[in-house]
Amino acid sequence: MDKGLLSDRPLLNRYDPMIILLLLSLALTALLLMWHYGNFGVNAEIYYNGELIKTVPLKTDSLSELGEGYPNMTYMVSEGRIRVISSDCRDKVCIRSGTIRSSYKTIVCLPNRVVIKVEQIRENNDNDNDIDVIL
Amino acid sequence: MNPYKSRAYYASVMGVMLALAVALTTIESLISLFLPMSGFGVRIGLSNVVIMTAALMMNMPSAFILTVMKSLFVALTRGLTAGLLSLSGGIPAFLIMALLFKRTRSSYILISIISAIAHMTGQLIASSILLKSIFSIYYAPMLIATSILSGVCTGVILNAELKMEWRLFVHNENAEGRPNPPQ
Repeated sequence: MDKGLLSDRPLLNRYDPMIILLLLSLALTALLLMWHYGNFGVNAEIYYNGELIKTVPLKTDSLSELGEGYPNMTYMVSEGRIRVISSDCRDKVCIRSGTIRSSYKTIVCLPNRVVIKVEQIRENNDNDNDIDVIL
Repeated sequence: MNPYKSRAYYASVMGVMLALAVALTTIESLISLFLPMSGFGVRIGLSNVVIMTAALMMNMPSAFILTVMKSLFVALTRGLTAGLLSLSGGIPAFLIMALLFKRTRSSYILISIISAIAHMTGQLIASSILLKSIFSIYYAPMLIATSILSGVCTGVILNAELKMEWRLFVHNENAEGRPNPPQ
């Protein structure tokens, strides 16, 4: 037996907790940034094969399918959230993803090549006419 | 164990290893249904324990063959997309794992974590290519966090399991630490 690879390797080295903490804090920072820059959208966008095929308003409740020529998927909008309620894919990850309403979350159905995400609102553009504060 | 004792021995050991890896994949997909982050399609990666054991107890090429065979099995049972994703995660994870085991004295937990992150990165890149969009990158922070969790789990299991194997195969002792009767 090859003893070289097995020989007394520790369960945890001295500096491993620091590496783990560093990675965790990186992930947490990214999550916080996404949470901070995300918004509750007005529209949800549905992509198929990387192309935008539908823009669904989240204000009005609806229940519909992707339509002809696209995978058999049914999505439902209610209370400003969108979710997939049926899909012909095998793993059903898209259904288990649940509801989304903020722009940093996506519903992905890989077998069907479908991505559902909430539209990102760019705050710095197109609001020159808005008045923020009147003193 | 010496994998080259005979061809039949090698084939049967590889068969058992592959069966274990596949069975653990099925079990962990059942477990992951009850985890809070099941929506991301994440799993613990228990079959990685089998592949790491193969890498350490047998040799690296055998472990690589197991990785590819497992992905082929996934492709047969869960569809081509799932198989491709399994392969695109498994190969980077295997390469990183092999490098760390050969060249460093990193701990089991660290190797498991880095291997899990490599698995996740490979899958994210593959899914971005498949979807022709980069939106799945939004999953990355959550997946790094779960990689750490699953890496700790598989690292602890691997450590416990290898200690057992060490006793069984190297010192020829049974589970209570007493020597086995001569055969």
